[in-house]
Amino acid sequence: MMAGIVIVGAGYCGVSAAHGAREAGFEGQITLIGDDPELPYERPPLSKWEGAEPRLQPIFANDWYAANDIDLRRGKRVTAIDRATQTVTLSAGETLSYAKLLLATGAAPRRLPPEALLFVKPHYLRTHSDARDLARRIGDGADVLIVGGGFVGLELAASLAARKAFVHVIEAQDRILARAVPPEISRRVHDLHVERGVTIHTATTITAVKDNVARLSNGQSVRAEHVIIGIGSVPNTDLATDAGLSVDNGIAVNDRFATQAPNIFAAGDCCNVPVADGGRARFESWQVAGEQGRRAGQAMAGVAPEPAQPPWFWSDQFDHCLQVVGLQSAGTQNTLRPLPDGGIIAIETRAGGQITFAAGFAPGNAAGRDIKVLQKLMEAGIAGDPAVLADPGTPLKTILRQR
Amino acid sequence: MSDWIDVCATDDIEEEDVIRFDHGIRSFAIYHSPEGEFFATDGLCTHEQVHLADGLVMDHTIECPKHNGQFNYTTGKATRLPACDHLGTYPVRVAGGQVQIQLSE
Repeated sequence: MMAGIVIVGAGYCGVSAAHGAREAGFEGQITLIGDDPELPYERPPLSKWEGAEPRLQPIFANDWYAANDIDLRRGKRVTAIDRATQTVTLSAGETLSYAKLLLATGAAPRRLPPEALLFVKPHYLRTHSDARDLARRIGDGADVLIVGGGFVGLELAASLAARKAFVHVIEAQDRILARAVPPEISRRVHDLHVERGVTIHTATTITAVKDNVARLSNGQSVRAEHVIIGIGSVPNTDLATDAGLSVDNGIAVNDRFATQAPNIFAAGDCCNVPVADGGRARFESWQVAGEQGRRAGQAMAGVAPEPAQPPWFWSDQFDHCLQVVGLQSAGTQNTLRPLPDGGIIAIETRAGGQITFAAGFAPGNAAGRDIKVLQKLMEAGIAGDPAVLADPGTPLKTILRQR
Repeated sequence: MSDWIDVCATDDIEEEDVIRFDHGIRSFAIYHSPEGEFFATDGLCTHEQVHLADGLVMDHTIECPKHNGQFNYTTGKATRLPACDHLGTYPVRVAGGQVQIQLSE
């Protein structure tokens, strides 16, 4: 059998890589291996519950894989890479040859240290099975403690509060979402949660636990039937490390997603890539995972990957949506653009007006259009006068048209 | 047979822009192209039921305000993931200064 592309990991990144390779004209064999038994699915709905249970939303329908001649192996784990023979070993003992190998192994929830797990068995969220388990175990009116005021923790807080759970969020930093958005956006998200019944403890840690009651560093005590840990994720790099590949907060790759082994690639949450400002970064976002997968697929198909777009992500918080584009950096000017329905966009610009970052928070999708224009301005390198950016009466699209 | 239904006046939609048009339980997106032509598609993104009229029109592309799926609104064709399924399109005409859409039952 002729060796083709083998993709390890069938999340959004791995599936996008298979899609990207086919779209780029690759005609050889593509094998897509995922350890989840389900048809490859979208992860964003796992923390955004609309009904009684989180939706299982397939990325593509089942027949897409056969129609594109992609050999999908579900519920299979890759246990080793042999670079000398260009083979991978599956959990069942089977070996597969590759001409090109993509590691799209994703990330795993960061665990609390064992000594912190004093009371109940804490919940972590990564898979659809985790989410379904959470939704079934946590009943209406339950007392829930969420450790970590990041996106996943806050989306779960909103989902659970909508089900009449009593939710406390513990955040060690002095504001929620501190790493991801400017203070004004943190404040708006915080206020919305409080208005909808969530209790948020910032600059707070758990100091002791007894009989399902957590003592907090701010002096309060909180009873918790359920504890959910949402303190970030760590990249799945064991396969790469065991194969002797460079790992530094993710599998190190170049701008074509190749590791130091030219026929082994990595993309998505598990990899660490060069970014525009000359540094390196590891991303944990749906859009970046899909885009990196598609571009890695193009690279493996032997074509130059399309240019990277500014990183973008969204988060649903109750009936509001947060959208973020670009990368935060020091030394930028922060401009606030009010939206007509009580929403706001925080925009960061450099001295010459170059837009580097924007975060919008508004009811529904009211921030969506402006965020998309800001993304296009960033991509095109078009400067924005802060006075115009701050003026809700001037559509941002006019800046794009004036170029 | 189906009737032509008034949507709005031609100058109610700026060029290279879109408005939402609800009729009964259905929702449509009505576009004014940079060339001055009008088009109509289903109003909700085929990916996650988001109103496309909140999105951004660039040339002949509508971009969903939520997850950045894209469609060619002149053909309904999905042109970027996560949008996979195409949008339905509907005949549009201008009569007496009114944009009209033709709906089949």
